[in-house]
Amino acid sequence: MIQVSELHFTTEDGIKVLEDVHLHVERGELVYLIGDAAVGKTLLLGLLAAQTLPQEGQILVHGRNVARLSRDKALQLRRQIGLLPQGFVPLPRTSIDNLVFKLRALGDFREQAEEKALLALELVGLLRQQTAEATELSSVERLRLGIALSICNDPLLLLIDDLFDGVGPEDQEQICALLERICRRGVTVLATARGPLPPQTRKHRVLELVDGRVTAR
Amino acid sequence: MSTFLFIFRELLGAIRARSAALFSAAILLVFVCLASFATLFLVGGEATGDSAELLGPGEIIVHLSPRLSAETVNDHYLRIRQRPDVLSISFRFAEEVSPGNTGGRFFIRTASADVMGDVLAAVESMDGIMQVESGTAAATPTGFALPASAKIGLLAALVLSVILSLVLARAGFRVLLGSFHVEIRVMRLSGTSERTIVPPVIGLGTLMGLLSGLLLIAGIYLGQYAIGDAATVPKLADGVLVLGVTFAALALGLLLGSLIGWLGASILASREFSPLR
Repeated sequence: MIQVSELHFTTEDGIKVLEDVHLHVERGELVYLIGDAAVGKTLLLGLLAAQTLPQEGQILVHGRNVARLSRDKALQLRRQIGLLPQGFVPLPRTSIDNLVFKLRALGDFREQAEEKALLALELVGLLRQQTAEATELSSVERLRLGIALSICNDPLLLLIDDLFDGVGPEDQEQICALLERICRRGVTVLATARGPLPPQTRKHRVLELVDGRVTAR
Repeated sequence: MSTFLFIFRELLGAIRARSAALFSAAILLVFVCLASFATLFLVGGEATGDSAELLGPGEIIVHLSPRLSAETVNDHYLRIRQRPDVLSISFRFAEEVSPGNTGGRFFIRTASADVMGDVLAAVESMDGIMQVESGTAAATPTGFALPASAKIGLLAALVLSVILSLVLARAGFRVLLGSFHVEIRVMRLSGTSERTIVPPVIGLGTLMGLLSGLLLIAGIYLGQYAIGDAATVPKLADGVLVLGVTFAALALGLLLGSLIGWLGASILASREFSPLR
């Protein structure tokens, strides 16, 4: 699913953020990537999601070389990747309308979009809050909504940046369980986090990004 | 098309008081630009028609029926030219003088104002003479031309209104897209193509141009109607010219609107709308 080799990335200031990164994630696998703030986790996810072009090295997602994709092919790839950015801010509308907006912008008709949105909300456990204003949801509910927004168009890969940001320890376990449920549906999940991970993550592969390199933990 | 309409409707829904005020001002300025353009063409041309024909003493204009044959017109011409009290005579088709009119006209200059009565009597006795105007009875002006200073003013208004409308509309788009930036980021994040995001923004600008154009059309026809009812005020121009200028102004409005929309869409390239900002 994801195959990264010899990936380097240097900022305009000359800071080497990623140095010889190698990463392999199997289809349907759930992988956690931890690392301190500003070590390049967000950059790595942006590169994997074809939002940022790699400078050096190779990134294969779904067998496609991200660096060599045409604009249209890159768009096609992005549609197959659900990316939940750090500090996700929902649209100031109801939970279901957040999802419907994305799906309609991707070309779905209203009925089709509503159907998909309800399925995604059900999967993340937000069906009861479908008519609640997204801006009034708690932080963990917002995270659930963000995950629903990322998976509502049935992507093959889900990338989540800073997964447990603002989520308490009890809720962290629930979120881990949710990611496992999503994974069981055949979606590959790569989630980054900063702090210590809850015990439930131990049954999955945990990687660490240190000094620009990805290492197993 | 469905996606275009959806995003277009969402964009319209994101318009708030400030962006609405800026857009309204831009629409008004585009209207001013179109109105200046239309005025230049409708009333700013060379003085034509009877207004240009303020006659001096001893001058006569003879309006000939369009039904007169060329031979009869020629015969009338020769008969008038042979008179000793006529200094000169020329013939012009009415269409040359006043577009849309038919028939022809003789322009006669008599030897003096004293003999004009004899010449008038002789001309009026001829066949197919519809109307005779003489220098002693000056023609009532039925049109007017803009002075050069007014034309320069209109051109300046046209250029200024274009520049100001672009500036205000861009500011309006900045406010509008600023309040729509989360939606744009969500769309970009999920792989929505720029070909889907940009056209509704350009469409909004085009709609502004269209509104200005329609406002101008309403203004022109209401103006024509009002002027037509007032007996003392001349009509601005004939129907064909009004129609032509109307369509040209509408096309100009759409073009200007598209330019406004394109300028608005260029804001989308800024970092603010980057999905991973």
